Amino acid sequence: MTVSLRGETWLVGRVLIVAISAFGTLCLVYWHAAFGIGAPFSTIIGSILAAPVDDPAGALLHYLRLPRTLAAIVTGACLAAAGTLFQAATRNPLASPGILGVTAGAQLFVALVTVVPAFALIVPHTMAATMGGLTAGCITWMVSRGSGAGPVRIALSGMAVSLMAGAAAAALALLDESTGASLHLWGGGSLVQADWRASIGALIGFLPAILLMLILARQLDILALGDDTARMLGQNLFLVRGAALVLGVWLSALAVTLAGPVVFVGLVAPNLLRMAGVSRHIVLLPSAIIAGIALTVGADLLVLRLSASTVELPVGVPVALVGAPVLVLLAWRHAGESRAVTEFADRYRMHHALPKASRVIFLFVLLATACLAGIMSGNDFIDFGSVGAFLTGSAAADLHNILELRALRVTGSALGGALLALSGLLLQGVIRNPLASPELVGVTQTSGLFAVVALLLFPEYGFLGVQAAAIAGGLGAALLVANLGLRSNLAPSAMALIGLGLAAFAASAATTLVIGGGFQASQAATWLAGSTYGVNATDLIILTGALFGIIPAAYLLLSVTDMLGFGRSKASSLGLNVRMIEWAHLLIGALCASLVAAVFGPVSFVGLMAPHAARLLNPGRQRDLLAASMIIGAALMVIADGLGRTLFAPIEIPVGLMTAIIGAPFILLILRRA
Amino acid sequence: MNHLDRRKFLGSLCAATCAYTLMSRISQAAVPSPRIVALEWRYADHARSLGVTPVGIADLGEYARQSSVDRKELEASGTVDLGRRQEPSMEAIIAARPDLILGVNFRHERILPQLSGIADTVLYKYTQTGSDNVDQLALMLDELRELGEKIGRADAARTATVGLDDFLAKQSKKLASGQVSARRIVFAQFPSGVNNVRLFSSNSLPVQLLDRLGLVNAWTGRSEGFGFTTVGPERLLVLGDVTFLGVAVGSDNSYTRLAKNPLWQSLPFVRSHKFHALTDVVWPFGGVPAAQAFAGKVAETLLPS
Repeated sequence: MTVSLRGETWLVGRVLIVAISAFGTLCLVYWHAAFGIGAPFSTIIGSILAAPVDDPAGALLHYLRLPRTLAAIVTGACLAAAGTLFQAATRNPLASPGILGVTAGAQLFVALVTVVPAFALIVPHTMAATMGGLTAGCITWMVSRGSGAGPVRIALSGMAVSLMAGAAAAALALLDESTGASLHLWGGGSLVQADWRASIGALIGFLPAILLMLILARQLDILALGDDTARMLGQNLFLVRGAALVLGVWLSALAVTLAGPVVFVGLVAPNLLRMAGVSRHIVLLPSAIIAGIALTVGADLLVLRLSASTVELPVGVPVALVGAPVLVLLAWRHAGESRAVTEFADRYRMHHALPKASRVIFLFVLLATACLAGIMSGNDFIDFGSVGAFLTGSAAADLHNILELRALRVTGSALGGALLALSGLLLQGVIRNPLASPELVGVTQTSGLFAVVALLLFPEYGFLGVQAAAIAGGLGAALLVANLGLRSNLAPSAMALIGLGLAAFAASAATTLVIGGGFQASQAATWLAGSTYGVNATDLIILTGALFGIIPAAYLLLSVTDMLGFGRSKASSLGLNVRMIEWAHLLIGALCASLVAAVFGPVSFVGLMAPHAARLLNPGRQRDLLAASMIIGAALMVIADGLGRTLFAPIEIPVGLMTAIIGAPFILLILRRA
Repeated sequence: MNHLDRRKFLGSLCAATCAYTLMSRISQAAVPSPRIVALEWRYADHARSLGVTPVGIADLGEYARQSSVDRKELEASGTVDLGRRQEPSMEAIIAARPDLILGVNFRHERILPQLSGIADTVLYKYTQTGSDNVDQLALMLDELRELGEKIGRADAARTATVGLDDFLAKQSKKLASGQVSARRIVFAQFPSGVNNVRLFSSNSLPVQLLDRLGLVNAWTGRSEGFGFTTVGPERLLVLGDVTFLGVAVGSDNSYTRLAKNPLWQSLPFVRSHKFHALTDVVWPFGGVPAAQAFAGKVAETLLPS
């Protein structure tokens, strides 16, 4: 392969820039090490290898600060390298440890090892994190059906896997309040070190990865040309991709074990450089690593500065501040490029699985059984006869009160499930992606974020203020996605990407706020997972009113949804005001989901699962799915709530976590069908 | 019908309370013992100080461990577990048929309407005193006194308070007469799973107790809202030559992590053997029994054997 002279000078220029930024990063690292200690240069260098005798500053440097500096360097390097590798392997600029679900998977396994000490004897933390990351990564890969999938599909699948793993980790934390709920595990990450062991261990894990990256760099350049070209050039696609992904997972796992979940670094660092025009991996990899180091060390410097006067913040806070705008910018840029191809994979099979009458009977039996089981189970099992006595009003006072409480929660769950199903159906119709649902386009998370903000900043408005904020947040998210997407006539998949960016940002911002806001761990978990706990009659009246108000509008909208599937031009040639209809879909869909978020908090996966389950039962037009989706959504939520109340009684697992945990096998089911 | 019975019962309870305050000479046995449910552990302590065994305690297992009571014994006397302190099981609360529910603002404010529907409910400030410099020991004793007045056992509350005062005075005298040179003290908690340390501010309950023992708090940091400041290990270096009392939470906490670090050995208070890990379960946020156990433990630790 010949390289032109111009190319070579160009390369020299690049190397120079890398060298200058490397020096800048080195200065930043030095500043981090020396911050607030006031030791001379020689002491700082001198205390790298051993603590100087009888010098408290030197001892502090050697035993605490320098391990922390090293931790920041290794974390930044690992995350940036992992992000670069994932992005190259999937050819998706959004692919990064956080968005692919690898961070959440690693975190879940570390949580498991922490809560169940017996596991820790068998598997050390790093191994657990790697296994978790690999498992989550594999699931994402399988769900998105590997390399053939578009960026949107991979990103949406990764987000779904993240939600699942996060829910399971949160449930573990709830079960064991004193040991499981440590902020480190599900907070914003922390670089504070107790000794050299962890940072040096991670560094040792990172070094062999450098060698592998050097070998892979050239192959990744070839892979970037596209699958066909790469294959023609004789590349073993499977091997290269697999190697890059496994290496990326290994690096992410190192970072998670060392510092907990620090998101955005793996996304931001490589993309900043790509925006600056760096594309060859032999340059991109080292420069992304330098940028990642600079970002992490800089963020931790800010943490050090703040902790000198106030509280010790998680390092994820400053990283998110930088990362969020870059993420939106990326989604926007990528959105502009993406092809206007719809991904709606469901072909209408015109045979009916069941005759109509049996379908109707099946659905009502399903819902009735779920509700009855929900009423009968809880802290104590209540038999059928006592439920009958309750219905006729002749139950004893205590029994009456308990059953009344359960009836409220079962009804609330059913209403919420129906609304979520409606939301999923509308959003899947307009975004034309089987994985579109309120939680994957950012509506649910933004609702949650706004609720937390209201709770922290305006506690004087009470719970009503929180609910209003949640609805405003959900609608705001839909408006933002619609405004960015529909105004500029973007493809539906591009809108999904913007929504996804929003979801990732809102979720991490809410977690960060909850932790930074001085909540206790158990309190925080309550606000990050939706639950039917404490639902009252007013809530039910609001939900019922909203549901029956929205159903007619949704029915009208859904009767034209199928035409959107033909593409915008065809639909408008059929005489539809496409723009209007798409706006209406998004806004009404978001309204349903944010109402649920306002009453219960974030509940995921019901909006995703219910329409698919309805389609399994009765493949057909969107409009025909309305009733079936709502009934199935209601039943799903009632079952999830009942399980959450019963499994570990008197300890309750919030319904928002249960739906996500039950959702796991369902994702695999969609995968098998699609 | 049962419902009405409960109303009647509550009414008679009220009447009994009034009667009691009017004719305070009548012996305590005349006052029926109310069924109390405690959603935060301190109020289980308070109820027990007043001679009432709660019929329900949230996270009973952990309460029994923290306050060194036998769980089986508690359960044998009719106490049931109510689930987590955050979001306790409503069904379990109803099934316990309480007359009085005791909770805390920061956890249970949201479910106050439902709780009030079940029984008379009192929510306390607990340790969430915000940035105001509230004396948390006085607050704890005030809560005990109010509860005593509410259930017609003001005498028992007074006795418990006087008992604590006596106990603290005795321990203080012991410390003063002993060879305890370490007057400047820092009290800390080592939380689980992290490398940070919580240092308690002067208004917090444990530090107020230390104050009553004649010890001086050497940590002047700002309270984050619950009476402590969370600091990284680097801040421990600037504490200087103090006596350091620490309580650890869980098995993998910041103490077990930091103690492995050689820097720990070079900390002034570790070098001069003034670091004391209260290894037994010590829970400094409870009521009178917990406070007494804590103060006793501290005095025992500081006095040269």
